[in-house]
Amino acid sequence: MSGAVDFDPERHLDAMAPALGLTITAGQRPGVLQFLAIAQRMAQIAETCPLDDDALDLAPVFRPGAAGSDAS
Amino acid sequence: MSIDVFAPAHVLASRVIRGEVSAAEVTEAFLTRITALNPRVNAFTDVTAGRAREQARGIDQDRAAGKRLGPLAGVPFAAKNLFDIAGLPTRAGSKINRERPPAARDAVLIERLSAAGAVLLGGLNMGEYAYDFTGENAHDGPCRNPHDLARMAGGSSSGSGAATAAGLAPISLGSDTNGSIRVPGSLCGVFGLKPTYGRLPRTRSFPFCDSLDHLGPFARNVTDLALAYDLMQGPDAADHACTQRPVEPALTPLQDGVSALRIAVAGGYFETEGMPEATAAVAAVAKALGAKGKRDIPGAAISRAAAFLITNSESSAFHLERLRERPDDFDPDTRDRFLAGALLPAGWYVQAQRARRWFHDEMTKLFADVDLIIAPATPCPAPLIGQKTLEIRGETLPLRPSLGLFTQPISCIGLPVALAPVTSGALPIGVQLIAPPWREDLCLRAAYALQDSGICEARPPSGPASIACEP
Repeated sequence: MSGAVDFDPERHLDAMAPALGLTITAGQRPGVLQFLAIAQRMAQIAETCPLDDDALDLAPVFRPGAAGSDAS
Repeated sequence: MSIDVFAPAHVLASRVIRGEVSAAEVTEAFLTRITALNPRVNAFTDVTAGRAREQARGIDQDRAAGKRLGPLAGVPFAAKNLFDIAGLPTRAGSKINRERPPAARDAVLIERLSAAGAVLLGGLNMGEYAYDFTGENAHDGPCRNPHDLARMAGGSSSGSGAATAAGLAPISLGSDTNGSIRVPGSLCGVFGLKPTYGRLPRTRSFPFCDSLDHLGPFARNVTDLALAYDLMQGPDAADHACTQRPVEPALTPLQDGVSALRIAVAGGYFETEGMPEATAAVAAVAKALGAKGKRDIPGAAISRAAAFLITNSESSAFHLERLRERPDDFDPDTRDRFLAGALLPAGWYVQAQRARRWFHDEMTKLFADVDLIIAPATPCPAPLIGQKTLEIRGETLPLRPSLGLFTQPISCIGLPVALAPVTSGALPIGVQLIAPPWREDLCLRAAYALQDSGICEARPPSGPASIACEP
């Protein structure tokens, strides 16, 4: 995540949009860049979370089997 | 027979059950009011008049036959148009979804309220695909605030807040991913409940962000809110996130009071300097509930950031094909956020899901010695429709993401929240009553105590710019 400080919304958009098959017009570009910049600030805040190195406790947990089967 | 459209739903139901008024008369009164006011408020996108009349007739026939009626007999309600309504395409505030085939069956929560005798009046306006805090919508037009028609209703459950505030539906259903029940509840001045994540089944509703989507009710009265909530509880196997917990009634302990509860005001991230209406509302609620001091909520900013990233990533991935094929058919105000979200690095998303778990665990520690937390719901009362920025703590910020400043950290970890409206000036503003997971009963007890003391009230719109003025 350390690369987040070097994040350039313009370069990121130009690289990622074609990779995802998205066409972003000149009219859409300022708005998309604004929200990419906000997202980058949010990523920097999330990065300050004091997590243990060995903690990979993701909030969503996948439970195999039919819904409710673990309660029976 | 006169019908008071602002009467509590449970009072209306009692009158129908006792035969003082028929369900058909109640239904007609509300349909007439919708015809008169909806062109100004724009809360309803679909009015299901035929279905409502047929259901009302059935209720009256059941009564005449001596059958036992449900606890919401004849009570009108309406649902945000991301809930499936049999016979209608589930538009979810979008243009694209109107091409979907009509829903074959109602959403589970509509079925549960209908089974209790409530009468569905229609589908309600909302921000496109629920990515909204304003109530503006490029396809259906803005939903207007019943207290001041030039102002936002708040979103994304804009029609739900506005319809219930305007006396068009005593109970309405909405969804809340980052604040979409609590923001319109605050701006429109009605009570709302965002239950614990996983409490109410989302089956047959159009998703926004699976990790964070909640459904819940709005009402003008806390007893109605608790009653509707209780009637909608219970597992449903088709929603993978829905709890297997049994129904845990909130109505029974509603009047137990708050004297035994340890109540604190949220500090730190939730401070309201420079936000006079929010400051006054939190102070009034804290005093009335006997709150003991302030508690910092370390990590709230991290939680808000996590909610932003999870929402942006999941929702954009969900809509990726539509963004590729039909970007011009999106509302421009939501499209640019979705396009940006589609481009986010996976590492940001995974970090957000780790941070979410961490903040949940931190809040669990805080709840070891606190039962209820009071926090502001919105930084301000309803902004003007079309407003693009908000001044918050001396900074000019984009309005759309900023209206959820105080709601996002809480829904990120799925805590139950009751939204209680305070009216001190011309416009209402709401306060969040936040409890530990699965303790909706505590949120609602506090909301009831505030209603009982007169501090919180869903006041009928009466100002010179409201629906009470002549068109």
